[in-house]
Amino acid sequence: MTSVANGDALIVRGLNTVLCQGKSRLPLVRGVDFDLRAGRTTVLLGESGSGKSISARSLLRLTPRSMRVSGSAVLDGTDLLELPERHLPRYRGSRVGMIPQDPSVALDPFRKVGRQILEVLRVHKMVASRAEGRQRTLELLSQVGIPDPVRVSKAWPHELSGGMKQRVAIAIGISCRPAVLIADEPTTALDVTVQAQILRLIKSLQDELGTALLFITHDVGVAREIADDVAVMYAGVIVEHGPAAQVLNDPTHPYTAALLAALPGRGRKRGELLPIPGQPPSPADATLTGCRFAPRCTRVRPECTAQEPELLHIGADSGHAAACVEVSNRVKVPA
Amino acid sequence: MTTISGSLGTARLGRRVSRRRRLQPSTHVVLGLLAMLVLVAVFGPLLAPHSPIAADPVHRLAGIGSPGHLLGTDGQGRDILSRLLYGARTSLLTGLVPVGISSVIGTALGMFAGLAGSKLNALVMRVLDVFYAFPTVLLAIAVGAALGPGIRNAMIALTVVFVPPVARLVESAVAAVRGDDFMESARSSGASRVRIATRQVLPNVVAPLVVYCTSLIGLSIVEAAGLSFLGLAATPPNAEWGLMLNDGRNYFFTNPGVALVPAVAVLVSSLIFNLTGDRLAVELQVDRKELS
Amino acid sequence: MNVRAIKKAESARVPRSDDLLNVYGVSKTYGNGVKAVNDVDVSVGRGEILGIVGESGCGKSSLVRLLMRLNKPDTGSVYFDGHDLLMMGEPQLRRMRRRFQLVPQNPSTSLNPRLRVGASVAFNLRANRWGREATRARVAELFELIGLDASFAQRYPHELSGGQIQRIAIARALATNPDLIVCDEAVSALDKSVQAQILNLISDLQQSLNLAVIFVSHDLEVVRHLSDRVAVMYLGRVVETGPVGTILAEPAHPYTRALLASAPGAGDVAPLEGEPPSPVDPPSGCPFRTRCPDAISACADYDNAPVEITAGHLARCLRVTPAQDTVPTNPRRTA
Repeated sequence: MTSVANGDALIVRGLNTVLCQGKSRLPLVRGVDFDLRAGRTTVLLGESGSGKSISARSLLRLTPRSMRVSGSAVLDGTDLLELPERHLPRYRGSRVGMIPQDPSVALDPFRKVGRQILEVLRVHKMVASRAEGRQRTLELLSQVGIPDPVRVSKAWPHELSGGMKQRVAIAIGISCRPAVLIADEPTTALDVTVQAQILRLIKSLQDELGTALLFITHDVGVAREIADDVAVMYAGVIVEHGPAAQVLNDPTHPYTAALLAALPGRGRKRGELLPIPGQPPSPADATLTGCRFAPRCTRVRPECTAQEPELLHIGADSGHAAACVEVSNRVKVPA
Repeated sequence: MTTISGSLGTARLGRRVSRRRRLQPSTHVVLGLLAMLVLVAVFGPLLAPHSPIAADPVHRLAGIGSPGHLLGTDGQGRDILSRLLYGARTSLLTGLVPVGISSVIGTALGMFAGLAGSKLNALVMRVLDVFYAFPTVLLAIAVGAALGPGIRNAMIALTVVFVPPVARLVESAVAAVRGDDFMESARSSGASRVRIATRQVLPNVVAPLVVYCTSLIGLSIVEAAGLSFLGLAATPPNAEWGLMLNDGRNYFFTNPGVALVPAVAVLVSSLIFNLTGDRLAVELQVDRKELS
Repeated sequence: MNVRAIKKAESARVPRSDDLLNVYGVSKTYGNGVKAVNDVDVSVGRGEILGIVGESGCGKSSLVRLLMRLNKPDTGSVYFDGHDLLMMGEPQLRRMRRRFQLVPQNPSTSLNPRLRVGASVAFNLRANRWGREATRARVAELFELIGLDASFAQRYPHELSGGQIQRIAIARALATNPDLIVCDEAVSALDKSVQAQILNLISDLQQSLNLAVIFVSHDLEVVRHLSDRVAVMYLGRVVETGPVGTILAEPAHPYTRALLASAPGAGDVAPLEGEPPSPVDPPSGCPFRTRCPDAISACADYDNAPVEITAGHLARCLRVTPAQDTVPTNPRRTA
């Protein structure tokens, strides 16, 4: 989160999303900053309700009308959040590609797969003619590892398996050679063996195309597999951010540490998981002050509830930051 | 949670908001109107300034606001306000009784169909569909005509008419929870079918049923008045709104009040029940789409 | 019904005396042609945790319904504590049910939305002729057992979190002091930090009450963490069973190996190709042969009983042979 470096594809600063219900204002995303770099994968890791998906949708202003988005998200020198509504389509799906969570919802059930891809290409003027579009559609389908592009392009979405549909959705996502690709839990709906295929595919496509990838997941294992950088979200804020190896192997924020300790895995005996006590807070809970994790934190101290800690760097230029009083006090955190 | 509702995070919020137990202000208003209607029906005869059947030929067809006759008099010089107040009781009964009986029968049928195997379900529901295919008014007229005139027969006719829609509603409410996990748990608990039906399924049926039946009372009042109008329910000289409407038909151009007053009464009382149904739907958190 | 299956059903073996649940050769084909379960043997000992793992559509939920006698198998037999559940009359079966209980999957429907959660727990007791007072006392006791304040009994499910609901579903299952509880994906819909709470709870209860548990999940990590023994299912068949350590260390079936390699974070192993075939028209012979990296033509005819590799470790694969040290005890070899 240092100064704007070369290769920055999308710079997000002070992203806020507020849900307005009548007179109540519920902050769902609060002051989120991150940079996406070309060729790098940033994983937004968080549990349900942490605000990770809403953050991503806010970037493209895909949130419902009841949510108000502020802050800035700069892509190619343009702030997506300031852009007039009519210019947005140029970015949605073209400069910024999307890979959906559930492709069976994202694909139009009443149009054949090939036509759906062709339409995206035509709308964004990626191809000069229908013939070229058809050619490009087949290229895209084989690029996402579909063995029989001609047959699949003529298929209806319901004729394809979950993994195939996700491949088609990915083809649509990359069809306009986006600078940024946003994948919102793209493997959650899939089986493990298929999930492994899709993760592989996303990784290899990213290497090939050099796009910046924002990958949203709740699964630490998936994050480990794909992330260059990890941003951990809790209750609408990023509580820890940094290179994947550091965040996931040597976490600083107590929440990240607790989340990792709660996972079943090799070397952990039965009954020896360390669950995080309690529940994540509701954004409607106005009584909370200071660090939102404090009520569940085992390392809580009196000053935790005084003021919400800022994201501060750990060490000189590691790029690793955490929002915890322990960091500002420069206390070495035991592993 | 993680995958679907969690991604927008609003599902949990919505639920928190819905915890409110206090009634909304508009519900209070509607319930107040309903209470007034019931009070009028119960105490109407006490409030009536005149006898509902005493004819006063001298003051025939007095207009609305005439001295001594607030709502005027009809063709035989009977006081319309008094007839209206007496008729309220009949109208309310013709609303409540058929709906009450048909809701019991319909619930039993709907629960049976909903919890029976697919073949029995199909049999029961298709038979009900045959009834459902007739317009309710036509069906009521047909049954009413077959049974002969009289308030009691009209109520039987309306009961027959309302059983199929109630059964269908109940069946769909049962179908909505039939496949839920808690039903499987209930089956594996060792409970009998009857116990599962009454303790687990019925609570899920009650809310939509109450909402639907409240609205149905409004419809029943209208249809009962319609049957009376056709001479299939209340018989002269009884004070009944449908009958009054029929009387007023002859004087519509000389004194429209004779017909309009009972018409408005039918409309308003039916409206009150419909509004009550709407408010109950909100308060009981019933999705109105389930009801159609 | 094929001839072999009939033979098998007729020669229904007498259950091992020390096992709580024995399932022999059960198969189920639904009206829509889905062959959900195909010739499955499963057994659970007293106080043992059996994990059943498999991807969506492998038939694990159908198997649960068969062994809970919520559905009737086409062939095969189910013994609970020596009693043949398929031969039992309805009243007898209902009395037996209090001894094996279900913890369902989905927190949003696992409790009746229109009942206070205490009433949901009490239902199971009242159904088994507990008196009013005894029921009230038992419900309070159960809430303490699952670590929730007794005041929760007065709430409705929509006022509780997913984790709390699943706790109560466990309390309901335990109400009648069962010998066996069957958890069908009971933690899959929960957040990871909450999942750990429930896994620990199940593990604690299993030990303190000496429960047998069948734990069904698509998540190998979770099954690995909790189970004593594991059964791996693929396309309606149990392809491998054995003690958890053996299965993880020396997986014998190629599908088990692929499943282990597909787990996120497992390392850079080539993922399995393709997706499971339709259970309406499964491949002949070994169901996995269409995706198996080691498949040979003979796999299309392979329909043998599982091979015992070492004691208690069985796999259903053409290439699997009993280990050297077990040769003398294996009747097939000595014959």
